[in-house]
Amino acid sequence: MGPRRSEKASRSALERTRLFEDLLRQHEDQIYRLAYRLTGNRDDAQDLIQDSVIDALVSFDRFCIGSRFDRWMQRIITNNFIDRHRARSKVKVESLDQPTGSEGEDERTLEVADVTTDPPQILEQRALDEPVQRALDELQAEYRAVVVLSDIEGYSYQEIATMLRVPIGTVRSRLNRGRNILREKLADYARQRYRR
Amino acid sequence: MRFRPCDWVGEHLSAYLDEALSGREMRQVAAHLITCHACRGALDDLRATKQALQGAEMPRPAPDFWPEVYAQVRQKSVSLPAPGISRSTWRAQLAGVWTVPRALATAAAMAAMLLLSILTRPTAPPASAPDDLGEFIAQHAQHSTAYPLSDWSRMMFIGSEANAPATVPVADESGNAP
Repeated sequence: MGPRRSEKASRSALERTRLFEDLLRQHEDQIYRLAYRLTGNRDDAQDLIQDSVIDALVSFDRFCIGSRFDRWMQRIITNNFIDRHRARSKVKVESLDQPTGSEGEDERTLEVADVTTDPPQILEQRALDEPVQRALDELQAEYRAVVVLSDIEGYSYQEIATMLRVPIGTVRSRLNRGRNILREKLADYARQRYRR
Repeated sequence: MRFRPCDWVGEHLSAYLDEALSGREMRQVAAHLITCHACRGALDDLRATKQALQGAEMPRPAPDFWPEVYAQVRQKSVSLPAPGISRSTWRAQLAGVWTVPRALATAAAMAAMLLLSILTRPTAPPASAPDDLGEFIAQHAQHSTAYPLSDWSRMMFIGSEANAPATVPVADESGNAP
């Protein structure tokens, strides 16, 4: 009974991995696009995806098969992104309080590293994307998430509210604020290309 | 403070663009846009911004990125416990099985069975004791053995059996009765 049972268990573990991989493969593009638009660069996007994929795999038993995997995955990515930003901005405040602390220094070198990784990323991007992404990067994480989910990923207000666990009115006001900031930053660019 | 229509419209322009306002609000914004050149310009800019976001190209990861991710997935899944039926999956499965009509049908069937069992339950043993005390005990014993749930004293006996089986003489007597 014992060996047969463990055989069965390992087979179902294999099936689980297989299913997870297949679902992931089907949605690679959307997953990468979301992570990239949120983080604004390739390295951070890839980090965010790697962490989120492992989170998703660990809780895959709780995923209701038959519901939308892409939406589930995007929810994990978005919430991880917002959590990271909150943690980062917290550390930043602490480092101001304790400028000699070793943790603060680590964080500062991290920030510097982010800046130095910028030039190759700008090269790798197409000219069309550059101003849009730069404008997005300047938005606060909460505003950015709502704008990206709505305008790039096509989520409804209600879906975003559920995903971020905030009231629908908050989604509406964050979207309004985020879009208006982008409008100011992208005015010339967007007018030239899209305004008739 | 004076109400400034441009401020109010400015707060609702983004939702107007998505048609995510109530019908009344949609009409109010539209009415304002007919007369206000500045707000109309802002709306056009917002629309162009939204289109710029939508028109942004699909970014591509490094070519070896996804293969690396799948390698990590396989590595990690080795250390995970074997999949079992988790609570939420159970719930989902139950939710699939227990639709409201099904639950109602089951409840109705159970009520019908209960009613049937009440209507067809065996009659109680004769109220007046037969002349022969031995026969009475025998009848009682037969009846309560056949229908243990209909006899309160038998129920009590069953309940007490575990604690003190030997101290209940009725059972012994009925068992030995002719």
